[in-house]
Amino acid sequence: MKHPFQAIASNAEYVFAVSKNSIHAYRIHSDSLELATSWTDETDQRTLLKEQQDQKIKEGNLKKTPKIPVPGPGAPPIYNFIRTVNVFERYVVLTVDMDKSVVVFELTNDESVWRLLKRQRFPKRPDSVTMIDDHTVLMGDKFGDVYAMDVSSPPQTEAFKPVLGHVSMLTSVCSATNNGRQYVISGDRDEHIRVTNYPKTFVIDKWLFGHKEFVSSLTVPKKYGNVLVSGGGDDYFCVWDWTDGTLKQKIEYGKQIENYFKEGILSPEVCPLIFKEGALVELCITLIVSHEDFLVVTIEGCNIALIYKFEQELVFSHYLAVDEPILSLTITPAGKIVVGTDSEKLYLRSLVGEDQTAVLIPENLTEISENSPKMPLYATSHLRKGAMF
Amino acid sequence: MPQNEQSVDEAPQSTEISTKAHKRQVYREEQELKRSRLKTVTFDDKEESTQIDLPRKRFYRQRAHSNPFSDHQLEYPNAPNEMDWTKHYPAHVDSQTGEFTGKVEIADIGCGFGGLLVDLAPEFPDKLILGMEIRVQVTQYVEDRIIALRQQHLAENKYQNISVLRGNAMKFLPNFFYKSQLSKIFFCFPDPHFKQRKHKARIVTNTLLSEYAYVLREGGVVYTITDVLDLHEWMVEHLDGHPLFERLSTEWENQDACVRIMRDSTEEGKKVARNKGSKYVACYRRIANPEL
Ligand SMILES: C[S@@+](CC[C@H](N)C(=O)[O-])C[C@H]1O[C@@H](n2cnc3c(N)ncnc32)[C@H](O)[C@@H]1O
Repeated sequence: MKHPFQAIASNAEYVFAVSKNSIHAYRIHSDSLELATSWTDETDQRTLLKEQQDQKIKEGNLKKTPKIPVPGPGAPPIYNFIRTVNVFERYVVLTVDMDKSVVVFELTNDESVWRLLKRQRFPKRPDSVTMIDDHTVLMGDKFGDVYAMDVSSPPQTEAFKPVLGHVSMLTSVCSATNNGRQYVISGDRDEHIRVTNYPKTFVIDKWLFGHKEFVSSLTVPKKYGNVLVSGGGDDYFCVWDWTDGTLKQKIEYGKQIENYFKEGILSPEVCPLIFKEGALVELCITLIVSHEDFLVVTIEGCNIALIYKFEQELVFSHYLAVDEPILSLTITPAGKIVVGTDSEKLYLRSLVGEDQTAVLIPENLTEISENSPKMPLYATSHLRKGAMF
Repeated sequence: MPQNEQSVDEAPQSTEISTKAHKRQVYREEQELKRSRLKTVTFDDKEESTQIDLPRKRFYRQRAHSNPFSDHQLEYPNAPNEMDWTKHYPAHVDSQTGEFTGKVEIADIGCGFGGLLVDLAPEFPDKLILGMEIRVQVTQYVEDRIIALRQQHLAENKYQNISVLRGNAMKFLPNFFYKSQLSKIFFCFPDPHFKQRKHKARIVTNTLLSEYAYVLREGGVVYTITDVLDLHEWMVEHLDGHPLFERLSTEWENQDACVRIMRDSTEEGKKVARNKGSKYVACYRRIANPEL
């Protein structure tokens, strides 16, 4: 059995696709992808626990040398997987669950593709990253804090001071500018979206109130710098002018999916997870990706991505359907969509235009045994309050 | 989240209700009845007024700590403009339009049993004061206390300027208050959360101070008082280190009416006095935002 591609990003030359604890860089051709290089995170739990203990012993926090604890039955499994991948100009930035770290690669412009620049551990699990300038990564963690990290300085061992924080799990951070000023926009598991000045992050600019459920994804389209699109556990997503705080549009994607179900375009056979007793469950948005005038929205457990276009306002354009639920999606600068699904496949097609979807089955996907756990692929809906983990 | 930090209202129903718990329940049910009858009593309903006793604290006992990170099933408005204050301050409602005419300006965060609110009420008769408290039963007690006080002082129309609501101030303050709405925020004897691991649960942290600065207007004041030296030093360190706050002098503290009231009026403050403990005060002014 092979592990699917759970996260994906791209630039003009490469698609960076993550499968379990490996990331593969594929060179983009017109209707195919060619493997250029791979990296696998080999950090294992035992070595990690041993290291943490050595550290404690060094600090004199432990009186005697205890045995390395072996997680007992029922202990929550810690998967060794790469949670997110993002490309920012010259850098590919990953977040890794196993040792709660942010890993930065620098692109090299030659056959080697990249070199590992930095691996920085954090006290809590990194959940989302953005870059605020050409050398600073901002990372939001599971406990709501955002840290600033220089991409090239040596890893820091002393405690980090957060630059801002929510008392809630941070699900998304992005950076934005207006009138030459920089801002951080952050979204959390409560319904909050916050706009904060940068680097003077102690000055909060505003909150954007419009969600009734958790926020999971935020995007400021490159071409429309005043616009913020936000989505999560609600059956609508929001289009804001984040600079003046106005909520421009609430787009009810839930209704649209409901219609696709009625029309037979969406079926419980393909998307079993979003159906219960033949009816659609509460939906949630996993990704909002923008490219030029377009915006693509994916829904957890669903094999259809909704594509919208910025005209006077944001309007529905068309949809893209694949054969399995979508897990990951990226749009290349040339306007190709690459989709990872709950399968061994990657799908490649143009955002607009009539070309056929190319279905690719990369060879070197991570092999996993039948009973070894996949990374939790459908975790977004667990952010809903009262949901069972 | 650890089991033992579940708040009482989320605890599973136990089939064996102890007699004590039963008494509490009966008492509270009676109060609930009175409350629903009296909640809307304002100046105009004077005729019907009956004397009503102040609530008794022992019927509102609840575990001392509540986890500020958990979900709690709290009620809160989606945004400040959706907050209905009319039920909280019925005397500040336009009788023609039914609209709220006041604005909350003073907040007591983690108000406990409400002693500070009660003593601030006559000090600021024209200002609206709100206590925010995360524990349900404790909030209920304060609500009953305010209803009783309003009732007992109907003729003078007193205590119409204080109210309480259940809320988690560490998560939802900006849902209730607009930018620069408040002129004073009180943190009286906050939970100390001694353990290092729990320091993030403290109500004063670097990152939360930025939220308090957001709801506080320029020139507004943050008041802190505690009997725990370590917590006092923590709050001072964080407030000193925050670019939007500036410490007020001891002379200022000595002439300020709120500092005097805050020292003696809260239930925790009284307990500390009975035990002859020390009280550490630190007050800070919200200064202007720097050039951005
Ligand atoms: C030690 S008591 C002090 C009560 C009161 N200020 C006094 O001085 O008597 C602290 C109070 O803060 C409340 N509290 C703790 N965290 C809170 C939060 N995040 N939001 C609102 N109240 C909170 C607790 O439930 C508790 O009643």
